[in-house]
Amino acid sequence: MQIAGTAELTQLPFFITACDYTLIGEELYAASAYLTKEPTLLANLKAADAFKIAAMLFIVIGVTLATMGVFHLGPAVFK
Amino acid sequence: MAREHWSERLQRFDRRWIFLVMAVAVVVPLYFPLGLPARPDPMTKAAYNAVEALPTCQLDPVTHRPVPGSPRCARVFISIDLDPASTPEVEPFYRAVVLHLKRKHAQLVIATTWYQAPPLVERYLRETLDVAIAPAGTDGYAGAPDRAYERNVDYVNLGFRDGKGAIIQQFGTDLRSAFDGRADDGTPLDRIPMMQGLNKLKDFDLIVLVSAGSPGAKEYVQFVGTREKLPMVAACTAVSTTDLAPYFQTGQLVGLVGGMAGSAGYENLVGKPGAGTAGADVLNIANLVVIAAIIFGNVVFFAGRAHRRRGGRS
Amino acid sequence: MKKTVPLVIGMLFGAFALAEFYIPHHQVGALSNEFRSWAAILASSAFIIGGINILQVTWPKIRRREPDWGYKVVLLAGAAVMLLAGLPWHKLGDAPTHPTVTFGPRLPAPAPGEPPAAPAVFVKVPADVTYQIGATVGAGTGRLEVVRVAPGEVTIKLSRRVPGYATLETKATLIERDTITVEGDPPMMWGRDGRVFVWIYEHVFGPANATLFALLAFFVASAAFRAFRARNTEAALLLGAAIFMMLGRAPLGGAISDVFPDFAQWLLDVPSNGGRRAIMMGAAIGAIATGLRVILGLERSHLGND
Repeated sequence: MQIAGTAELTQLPFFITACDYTLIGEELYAASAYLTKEPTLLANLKAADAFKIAAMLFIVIGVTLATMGVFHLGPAVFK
Repeated sequence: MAREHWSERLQRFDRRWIFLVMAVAVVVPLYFPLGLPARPDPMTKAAYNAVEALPTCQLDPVTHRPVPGSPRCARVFISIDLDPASTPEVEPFYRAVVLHLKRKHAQLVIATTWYQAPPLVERYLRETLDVAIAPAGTDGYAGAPDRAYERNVDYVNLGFRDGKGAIIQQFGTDLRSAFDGRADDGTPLDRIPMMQGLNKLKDFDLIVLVSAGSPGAKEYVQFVGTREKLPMVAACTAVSTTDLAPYFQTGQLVGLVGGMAGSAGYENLVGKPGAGTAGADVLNIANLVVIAAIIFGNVVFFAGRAHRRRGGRS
Repeated sequence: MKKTVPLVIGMLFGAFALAEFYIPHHQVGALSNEFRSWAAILASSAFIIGGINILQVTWPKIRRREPDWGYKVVLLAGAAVMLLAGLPWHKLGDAPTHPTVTFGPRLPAPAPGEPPAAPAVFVKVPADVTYQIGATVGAGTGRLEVVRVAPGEVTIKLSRRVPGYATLETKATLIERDTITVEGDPPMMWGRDGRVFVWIYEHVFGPANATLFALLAFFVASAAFRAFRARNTEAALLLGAAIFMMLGRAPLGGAISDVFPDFAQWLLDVPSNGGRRAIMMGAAIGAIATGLRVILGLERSHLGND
């Protein structure tokens, strides 16, 4: 059984085809947090997840506004 | 004793035979080219169009200086960030784009952020800027001829600066202070007429990035391109094309020339085939060898697995 | 103290770099530029520290004759040779910077009705030197050559065809019937643009660097046969996509059918860009989190272990 992980995206194809399981990007850091249960790593992971949720929220809001034709929020809010 | 299955024999195949096949696949097309035309992809065409859209100034045929009243010559910043290992992939693009720019009489400012690059950059300047790349009557070239450029008159070589993202950021805010106000040969930039009004990257009409890795096109996009909304064209190694393609899709790069195939496509568009076109033939055969190796390797793998399942062995 | 001072420096400068985006005052921008210059200087000084570190790590291994110590000798010898060749030794002596220009007797006056005699420049330079007299470019032969020029200021340049030699340059103002003799031998330069450094770069470093990268082609072919297995769905999809990309990006695919380059471009534009964008966002968010940890002083891994 071979498991590989890399944050270097150019190495991914080689790992995916040569190994049984591959950890991509931040899955590598998540795996180390999961296995060691170290508070610093777990906190890092939680913070990154919170940021991701915030980013997803901004993306959804941005896509909705762009679909409505609102590209500058200032004039739309402060008429 | 059970006879060894053919798949097991092939699993122990001496890899030096594969090396030999690859060597033949690389060398033979150089001597017997296939001559297949390199079709430029949409990203390469966009890069070509971005350079083509630059203004072409009118020059006095004797003094080679802009004719008073004619459009201003385009001013282009070229960052040559490569090393000898990556020259086969991006050098053909560099030579083709410099010919393209010289046809437009563009004024060029050259710099590099790679410590291995300066001797290469000096050689490129000697071979492509100090002399004409395609003077009138060049065999196999039907485009407009170019002329020899004069250092510190038609082009300026700023030289090398280290500092990765930080120095690229400084190029975007204050290019002159990043190079201590001097060109690579020590000439003060204030004494070079073509540098008038060029204080930061935003002052250029186009940024051309010949980039083999980091720091390179990605850092330019992340640290200055998006912030200052700079028109940038990048050439990169094939392995970095997927990394930079999202930036082309969003318009952060106005053109992207990926690897030797992209360089060959750009040479095709400019009309002067070179090392990229010759290398594209090698690419054809070498890719076929790799594809054949993948298919054959998987056939052997699955045949062996089926044989083991039938025989009941793990 | 040993860890507190670097932590505080990291916090202050990190916070300033962030504040720069929110404070549009021009003084903040000027200060940021200054800090970036400092960063560039530190990055350059890291080369010197790296060189010293190489010596500190490698020399004990040579002294103790550890396995492969011979390669360490080659490493240090190569570094020493490039360092010595890269120093501008030619600045120590009195190397000439101009060619020798001597005015000779004037040409005889033309007969009545004849046009005035153009100035003549006699050039005597070694065989591997190129001369440029005004707009005329020629190759030296070791013998006396003559070039006729128009009256006025003439730029005279002597250079060697190979790189690494100085260019001798001067100007001379000539009137009708003037003759001058130009002689000179461009001296060899040392330093980054010098003959030795450039020769070693082009004939040793360049080929070695290119060879290491070229070996990848053979290893990829070998790995393609021995290691690239479609052992699960993801690997099978990846190998299929790789085959289409290889065919589509090379001219051969376009010659077979337009489907290959079009599909390769679609693969790049849609699935690849989508997945790549997601991974880049994840990496960027991770970088933001790490940056914030440095600014808040919570990240200590960059300070090293005691």
